Amino acid sequence: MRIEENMKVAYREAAAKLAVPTLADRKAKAAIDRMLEARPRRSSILRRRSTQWAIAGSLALLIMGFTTQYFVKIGDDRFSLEMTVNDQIRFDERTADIVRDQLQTVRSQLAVGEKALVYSQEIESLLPDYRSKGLFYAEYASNPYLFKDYGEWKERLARLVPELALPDAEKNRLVFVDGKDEAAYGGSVFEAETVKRLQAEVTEQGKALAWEKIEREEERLPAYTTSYRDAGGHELAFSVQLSGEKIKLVGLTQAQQEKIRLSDGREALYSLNDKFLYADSNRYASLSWIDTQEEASVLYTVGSSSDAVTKEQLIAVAESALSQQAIVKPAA
Amino acid sequence: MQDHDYQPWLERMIQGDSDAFRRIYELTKDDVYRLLVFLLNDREDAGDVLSEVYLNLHRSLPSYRPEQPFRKWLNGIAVRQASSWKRKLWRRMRLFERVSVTTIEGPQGRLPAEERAIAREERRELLTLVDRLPYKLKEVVVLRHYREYSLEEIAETLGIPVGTVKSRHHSAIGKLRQWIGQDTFLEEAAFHAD
Repeated sequence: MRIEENMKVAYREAAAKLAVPTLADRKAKAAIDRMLEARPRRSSILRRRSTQWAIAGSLALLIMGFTTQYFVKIGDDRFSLEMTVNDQIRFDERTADIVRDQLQTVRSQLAVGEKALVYSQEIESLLPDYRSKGLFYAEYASNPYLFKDYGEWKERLARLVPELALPDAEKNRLVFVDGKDEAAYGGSVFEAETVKRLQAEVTEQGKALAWEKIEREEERLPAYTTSYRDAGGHELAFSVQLSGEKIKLVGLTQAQQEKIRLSDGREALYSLNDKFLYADSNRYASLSWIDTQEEASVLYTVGSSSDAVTKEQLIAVAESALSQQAIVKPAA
Repeated sequence: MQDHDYQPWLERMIQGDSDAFRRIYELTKDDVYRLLVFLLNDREDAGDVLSEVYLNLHRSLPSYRPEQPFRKWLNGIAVRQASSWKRKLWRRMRLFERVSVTTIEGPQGRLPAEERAIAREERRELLTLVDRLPYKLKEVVVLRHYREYSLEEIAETLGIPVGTVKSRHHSAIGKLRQWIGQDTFLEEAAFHAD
């Protein structure tokens, strides 16, 4: 035993005398600088090769720096969705109303097809500890083109999404409302530098609302949302999000999360959020599952902000989509 | 430093902020360097491997899981990088076994200050003996007694079963005991010869 205790002390004593020598430090810094400077030129290659992190929608952000309460994950090593439940979001309905108005103000100034990132004191107040940790967070607003012809929209989706699954509208008594090329609510935020600027405008220059249009040469995570109304007139959004890369979506939420298994055995994530920023009802229930195809992984989400839409209804819509897909898909 | 000290920088680094990456380097470099010195027993080699650890860290960022303690994850990269460096050295036939001569003095007639100095010297020599261990045993010893990892944590870091960690640790301690015993015996023999 004495040897082991002596070793611990010996290591502590030896470590106290060790620091990176100047030459090695300089060499390491030079190597790091070269790598960081070379990175943008190689980004498209890296993007295809490595796992990406993305910020999922709905008050979503990368989760480090906050107390994790629990963690729900579905997917595999190629595509995964991880939701972390967290109590650091200071949601209140009045602030949420203001933020929704702010997003609408920005949205109304965008031409069709344009998108922007938005920051304000109220957005900051939703996550009071966020900026103090030097982190980035902003809201996303857009004015997407809306497809109104269901046939045309389905054809378009079938071209864009491998082995597309859509709900059986007849069986679920769903009526098509429109289709758009983005997620149901919010959007993924990748523009860290823009967010930094917006944060500075609000917190340092005292602006009430700061926003900036963003342009993306290509969407890193193309998403398509089909909106329906059910027999009761309640809205229901069916989204598909594609990734040809290895990717990990990480979201922060106060929602109740539950992992369930669909009839074909695959895992799905049921989420019930009663502090939802993007709907006037402050509520959003959704069911997500992942379909890993050869050329891409597809994240499916069906959700509704109406409290009349039940978990069972979402599961039924999901099951109908899966059975439609099974009919089209050739047997393995 | 604790993991929560890194977190704000860590998140920014993952989001692609170059300044945050440089900050993480500044915050962790000495810690990583010490581990490399203890593993490689060569400060120059440790300095060379240091930059490779951070280049590897950058490449590995996409696989970092937020529930993983960052320091342990970084240590894992350093251990693997050190191990790879060792293998490269071996291939290049540049690996020279450094066998140090150890002496342990008798206990007679020492002043407290002198005793403390001797104890320090003995501990330093103990680390010299650790450097004589085969690398696979040594990395277990360094993680166990320098990093103070549990056997399970070592198994996770090295990607080997806990049973293997236990047997390597047992074997390492056995060898150290044996070497210390031999040295003491030789020392006593030398006293008698005088």
